[in-house]
Amino acid sequence: MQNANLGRKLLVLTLLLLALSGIIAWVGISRLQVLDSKVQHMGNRAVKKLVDAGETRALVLASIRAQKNACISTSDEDSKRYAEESKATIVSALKMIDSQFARSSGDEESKQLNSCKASVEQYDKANKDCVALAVQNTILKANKELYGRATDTLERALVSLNLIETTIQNTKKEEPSEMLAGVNACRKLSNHIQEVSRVVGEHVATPVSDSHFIEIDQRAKELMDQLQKLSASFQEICQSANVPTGELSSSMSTFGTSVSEVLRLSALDTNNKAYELSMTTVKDRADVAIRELDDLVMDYEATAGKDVLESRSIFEQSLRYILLACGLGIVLGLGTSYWISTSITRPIALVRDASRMMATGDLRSRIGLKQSDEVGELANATDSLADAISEIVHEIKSSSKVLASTSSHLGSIASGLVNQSEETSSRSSSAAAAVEQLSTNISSMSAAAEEMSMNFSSISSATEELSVAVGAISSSADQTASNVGNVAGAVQVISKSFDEVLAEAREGANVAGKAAQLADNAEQTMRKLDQSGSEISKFTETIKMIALQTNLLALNATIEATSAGEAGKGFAVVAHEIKELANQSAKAAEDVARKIEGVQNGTRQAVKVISEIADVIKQIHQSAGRISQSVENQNKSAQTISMNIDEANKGVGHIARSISEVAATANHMARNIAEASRGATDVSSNVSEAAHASSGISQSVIQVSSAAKQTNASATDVTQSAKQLDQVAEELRNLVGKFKITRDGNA
Amino acid sequence: MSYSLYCTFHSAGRLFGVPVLDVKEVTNHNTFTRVPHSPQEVLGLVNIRGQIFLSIDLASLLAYKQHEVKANSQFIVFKPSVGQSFGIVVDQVGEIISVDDSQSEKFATGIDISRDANDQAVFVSHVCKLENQVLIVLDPRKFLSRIEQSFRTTLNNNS
Repeated sequence: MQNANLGRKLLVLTLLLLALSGIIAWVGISRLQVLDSKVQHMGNRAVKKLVDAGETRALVLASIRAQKNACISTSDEDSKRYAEESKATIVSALKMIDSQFARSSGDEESKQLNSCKASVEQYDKANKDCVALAVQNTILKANKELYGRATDTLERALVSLNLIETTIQNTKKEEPSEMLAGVNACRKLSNHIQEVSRVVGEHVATPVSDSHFIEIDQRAKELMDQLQKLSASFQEICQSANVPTGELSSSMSTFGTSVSEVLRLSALDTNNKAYELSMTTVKDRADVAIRELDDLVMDYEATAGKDVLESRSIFEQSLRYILLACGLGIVLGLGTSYWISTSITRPIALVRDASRMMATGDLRSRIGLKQSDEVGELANATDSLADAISEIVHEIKSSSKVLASTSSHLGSIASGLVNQSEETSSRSSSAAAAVEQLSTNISSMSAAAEEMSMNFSSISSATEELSVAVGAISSSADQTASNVGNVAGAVQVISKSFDEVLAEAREGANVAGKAAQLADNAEQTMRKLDQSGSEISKFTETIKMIALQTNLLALNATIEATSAGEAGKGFAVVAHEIKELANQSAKAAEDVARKIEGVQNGTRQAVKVISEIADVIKQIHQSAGRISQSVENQNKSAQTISMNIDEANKGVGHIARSISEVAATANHMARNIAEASRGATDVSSNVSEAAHASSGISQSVIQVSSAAKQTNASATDVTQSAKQLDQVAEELRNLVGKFKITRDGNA
Repeated sequence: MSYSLYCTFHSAGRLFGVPVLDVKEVTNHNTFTRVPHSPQEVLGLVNIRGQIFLSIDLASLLAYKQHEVKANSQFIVFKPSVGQSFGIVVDQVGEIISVDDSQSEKFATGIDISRDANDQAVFVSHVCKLENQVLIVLDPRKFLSRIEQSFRTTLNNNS
């Protein structure tokens, strides 16, 4: 779940919301159903009332039925039972109406119930009367009496009459008139009895309310009277005829009482009254009660139906509202969740795209989201990150530009240095050539001086020989002359040698001057080189500073990238690369600095050596000057010698003339020659000194040459380093160029 | 495999580290405006792009003998989540290194160090085993409370 993408999370949230709204809808519907069932229950209560009313109505009807049954029931027990039933049902109907009162709601209903109750009570009263009549069952009793005892007695009377008739017939055979009268009386009585029986039956059958009843009753009473009269007359006849009439009279009297009983009962006619009552008053009242109850039932039916329908419609309406609200909620929820999810996922996708762009190095894109929530903050933070990185990249870019320009400057300086060092080298080699020339010159001078010295020695020895052999000179004047000629030749040679030496010395002085100038030049170049080295050192310091700054920037970039989390990973790699490059450039700068220091050391050494050379050259110059002077002195001495020798030559011609003069002259010459010899030795020592100095110069020049070569090598190194630095700068620029930023329009 | 990133640095010749997520930035600032009555650990205040930060000398804070702040020392600024606008001055910031969490251990010496408020160990969050040395990871969240304590002590001593 934690790693599910945001869209999925939001989807889950949406589904949860939908499920929640579904649950709410379900709960609402179920509660509504409960409510509906409650309302139904209430409706059912109305229905119960309705049912009760119906039942009451049914009870009333049952009561009517029972009452009718009681009326028409043939047996007393049945009719009593039915009557009781009728009364009981009415009582229960009344009880039910009372219970309806308890449940009634509203005056209207109470009023209705009251009228119902009143009508039912009215009916009850009538009913009670009716059943009271019904239970008496007079017609039945009358019928029973009539068809039971009355008929029995009638039959018995008729049998007795037949007997009497027979008896009369038997006894009055002799008196036919009597017999006829007796038989006629019997027949008459029998007919009358039958007539009575018929009328009584009719009387019983005719209801009291019938219009014929009074007529029939009258007739029955008349018949009864006639019967009594007939019976009395018949008994008289029988007594007269001595026919026992005991049985007949008893049965007749029983019949009479029975019939009168029947008549009484028939006159009561409770059954018919009950019927009548039942058909009229009771029926009317029952109809009223039933109608009232019907009305009540109908009212209840209408109310219950209306309530149920109303509750059903309310339920359906509520259900519709709930479903509509749920649907609306789902639609709104979907819309809102879509809106929220897009408002979250779209900026995040923008941030992701921007981060990807940043990872590929394009830092131009900005999200620019105007949203003040966390997502907006994230977008703004990403923008500011991009800004910060752009700033850093821009700074690195400008730094790399400075670095590039510095490195190209360094390169140009290094190539200048190389040129200068090459010049130094060439100059030092020309100096070396000059010095070598000087050296050879001096060597030749030295040889000449040595030759001169030798000549001097030979002069000296010759002179000494001359001096020793002064005594014998006269004898060997030719030898002397030749010797003197020799001396003169030697002196001339010396003189020539001296000229040569002088020329050489002058040339040496010239060369030395030139060398001094060259040394000065070299020193100046070296100083320039040193200055360039210092300048390079300054630049390498700048590069190191830039590298340090870049390193720090890269570190901060790494920290920022790390804070950005997963999105900053790409940039962290780039920042690391930048850091590596910064370190590399710092190292390269340090390398350059070290090499420059080497160059500077070499240069300083070269400067020192060159100044030494200059010193030596000055010394040479001085020596050459001294040589020149000495040679001039020697030249003077040689001229003196030459003069002296000429003089000697002249004197030799006069040797014979004056030996003592010769001796004196010889002495003088010896002295002069010793002086010349001394000068020659001096020259020799000077020359050897010069030779020594020239070899020193030669050595120094070689040193200079090697120093120059070293300088050259160092300068080449510097050039190489500068190139490397240039390369690094180029690489840095390339790397930074990967970033596209919108600053100054040079992204 | 989970790993953590640390910003390493050298102070008083020793290697330390803090979680890189606590670091706001690293700067070259090394001149600070002294704060009156401040303890020796507090070097002063510094203005970085218009925001004032309190700078703490880490070496003094870690109870190493007081040493001069070098000219090329660097200033590590912490995020506001670590504490209100402060940073530490170190001799040299090293690199951002990634250490596998399995190579990190709780700092355990077997002695109860929580009682001694002068022991540097209270700042130690944990130690990481690097290839050829041990990186002590500090918890910068505890620095400011110590500084507060030191301030209080200094003020009490002065009064």
